[in-house]
Amino acid sequence: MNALTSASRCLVAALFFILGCGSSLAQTVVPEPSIGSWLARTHEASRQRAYAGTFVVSSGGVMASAKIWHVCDGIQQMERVEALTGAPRSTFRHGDQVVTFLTESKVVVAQKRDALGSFPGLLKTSEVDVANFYLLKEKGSERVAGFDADVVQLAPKDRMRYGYRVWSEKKTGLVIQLQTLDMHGRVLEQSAFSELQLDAPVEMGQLTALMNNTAGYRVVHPDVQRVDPGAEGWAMRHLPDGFQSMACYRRPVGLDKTMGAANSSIQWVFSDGLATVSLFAEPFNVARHVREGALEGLGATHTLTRRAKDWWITAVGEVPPSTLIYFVEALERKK
Amino acid sequence: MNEPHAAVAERISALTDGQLDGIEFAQAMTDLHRDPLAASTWRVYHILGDILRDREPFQMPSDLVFLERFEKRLAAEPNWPTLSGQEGGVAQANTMPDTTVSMPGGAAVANASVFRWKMLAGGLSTVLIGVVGVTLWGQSEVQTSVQTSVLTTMPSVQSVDAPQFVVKEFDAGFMVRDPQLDELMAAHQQFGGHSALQVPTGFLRNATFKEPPR
Repeated sequence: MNALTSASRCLVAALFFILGCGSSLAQTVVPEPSIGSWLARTHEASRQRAYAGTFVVSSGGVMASAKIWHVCDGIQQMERVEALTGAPRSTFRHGDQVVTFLTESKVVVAQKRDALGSFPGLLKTSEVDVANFYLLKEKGSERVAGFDADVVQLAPKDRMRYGYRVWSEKKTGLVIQLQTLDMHGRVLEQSAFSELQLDAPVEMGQLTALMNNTAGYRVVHPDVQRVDPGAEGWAMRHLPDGFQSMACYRRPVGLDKTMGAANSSIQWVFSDGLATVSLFAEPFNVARHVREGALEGLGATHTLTRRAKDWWITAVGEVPPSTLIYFVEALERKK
Repeated sequence: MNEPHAAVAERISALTDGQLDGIEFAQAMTDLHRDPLAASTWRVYHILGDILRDREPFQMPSDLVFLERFEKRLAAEPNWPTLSGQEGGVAQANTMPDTTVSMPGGAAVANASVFRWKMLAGGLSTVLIGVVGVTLWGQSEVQTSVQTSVLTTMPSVQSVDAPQFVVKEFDAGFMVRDPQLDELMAAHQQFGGHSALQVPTGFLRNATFKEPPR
């Protein structure tokens, strides 16, 4: 009897052990995806798949749409964006090279946007850890543009940034809809494919030929130089949690190109991995800079202007107004 | 004596930036009217400005053609009634002894000497001023409350001279826009793409969406 009881106890203990293991196994089988791995998957989707479709952006009550062609050879990405609203224009991107054809004025604007090459390296830096400032929540599945999509919400952990709701195609992870949300969950801005064809027959050679065909156009290269903000005499007393300095540029401003450096501005870019803020500093001009303290918004993008002695500061970013105030307050002139 | 083009170009540049008034403004307008090179410089500065703002350059040549047609049409029109006693010109108006506008048939203005109309106009003006005053007072209260609510969300920042920020508009589609601000917003979109959501979605968004025309 005692032996039977002991055996029973062993059996029950073994059962509890197995159930416990099973339970913990079940917990580890379905983990909450990390933001880093989720973002990497969405990025990888655009590196591996060709697609074409119609892209629609709605911001601040204004809507715009464009026809999109995207192709990738696993290393280089290439896109053609043909605007369907507003002035006719075609934008091509090949890696970090961006060329815009303004068809009515026969002008081509050619630029190098090194920021476009910063991902996914951006996520690997220790300075920018998106997971510290956003919480990823899975929100089930929905159907967008004819595709089944996983819905996730990237909720901000403080009031210094906006949240995002993202629809990514189930099989590939390609982002097909993106919303920017304020702290009350209201949609400030939305981008989405209204129509999408995955694995579309898009050839990189064709897009390259179109991108390089500037015959009959005047090619303009905006004079933008990367500079060191410290060497330019600017510093930040402190930064909002999570935001880091990404890059700083000197660029011409206004219409008079004869005055050289005196008429250029500094653009200092900050990011927390998802949101970006630009601080512009240029010499104060009493005729041009008349709207000090103006804080305005269009969709998710806000702007703020302020005079700081001999300088005029403009902050632009897809962040709440209070965050722009924080940035402008923290900027100081060292020279 | 012809002025060096560099000086004319500098004046046109200042005109384009909206920095001229008085005699300088008049001189720049004369340059535009008489000097084809000045007119060409004006167009180039606008095209450069539009490119910097990431917008389609406007079509000035067609505007000039329209203006030329308009001027010819205007010249062909019959004379409009002019100020009494003088043939034309706003520039001569200040020297005129009689500023009464002549009416068809030579009749005087109908209610010029009717006192009751003056009484009615005065009463209506008083009511209008009252309504406008009450409305503005109410708006200033609303604006103050919005401003307060925003500033309460501001993190604690040590500042010696805190600026006075005025909230214009937050979540509506309307913005008070100026070309310089458009230029900086375009630059932010072009060079502010340090977001993990930027490639490719953010790029597609920026290439698709342009600010609404003013």
